[in-house]
Amino acid sequence: MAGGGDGVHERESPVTAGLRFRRAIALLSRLALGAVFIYASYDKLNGSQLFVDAVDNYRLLPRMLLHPFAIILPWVQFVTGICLVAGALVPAAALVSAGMYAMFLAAMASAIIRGLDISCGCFNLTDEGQRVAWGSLWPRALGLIASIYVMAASNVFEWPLSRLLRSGKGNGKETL
Amino acid sequence: MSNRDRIRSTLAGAAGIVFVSLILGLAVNAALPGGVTFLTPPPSPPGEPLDFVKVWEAFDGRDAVFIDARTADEYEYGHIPGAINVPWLDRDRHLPALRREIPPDRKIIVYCDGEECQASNNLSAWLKDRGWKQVYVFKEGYPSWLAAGMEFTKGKAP
Repeated sequence: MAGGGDGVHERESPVTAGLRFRRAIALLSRLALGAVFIYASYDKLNGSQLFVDAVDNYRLLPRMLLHPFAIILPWVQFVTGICLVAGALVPAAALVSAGMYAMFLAAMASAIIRGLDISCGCFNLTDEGQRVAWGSLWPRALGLIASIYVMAASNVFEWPLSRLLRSGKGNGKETL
Repeated sequence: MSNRDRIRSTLAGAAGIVFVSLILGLAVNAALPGGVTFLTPPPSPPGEPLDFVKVWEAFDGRDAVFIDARTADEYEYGHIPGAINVPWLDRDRHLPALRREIPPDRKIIVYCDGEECQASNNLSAWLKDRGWKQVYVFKEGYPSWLAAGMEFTKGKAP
């Protein structure tokens, strides 16, 4: 019967296609953020002296907090990364991710403004590594934006971006 | 679920992630040797001072690494042969190379411009804080080395 049998595909509405595209971007952002955090934490999980040095170089923390911070931060990165990759507690993990990226941005900007020529301590701790410079800020800004995007796509907040992501279905229930 | 409930559950989840990370960090740090201690140790005192004869013996026997804590310009103008230049104000940048080149149990002698100069004291304490165990200070410093007619080298750090 014409128009009613198998093999006849209805054309996808442009709104639904847009929604799928935005959800795919959110999914890719979530996986990329998770992978970056797991990779960044890998060398630091057992309390690395090199990472203590890297944190100390920023000259922001009081001495007594250096070791606890250098031990706990890599685990926060690792657990957040696992949650983002596995899709567990996604809004909470995205919030922690956004908080960490905001902290990295503030620390790096502060180091640049104070004229410190230091290693970033982000990934490679075994040699000179990446120096902190204005060019190091944009990947962290991108991470912050991606984290906020994942949060908004998870319907945590009634932001314009959340409403935009839900547009197309209209029931407001779609999440990642 | 209301907006307030969603925010509340997100904040609770974030606190949970941080709490689990704290427990994991403490547990792994306690269980596995090799990592840094959880509590930051108190600051180290400056290295023990060495007199000229002891410094000369270490130089002659090649049983110590010499670190020049003066500026790059002063180092270029003249330094103890084989000394590594780590200017006090630029110390952070040299740390990765020092970690690569000097084992933690190697004897290190730090010097600068003599009794009045604090850079060698400061740098020796900073090195001890970062895990080097045998750090000494040549208090009389480079002026006394030159005054005794010892050999020296000119030129920039490699």
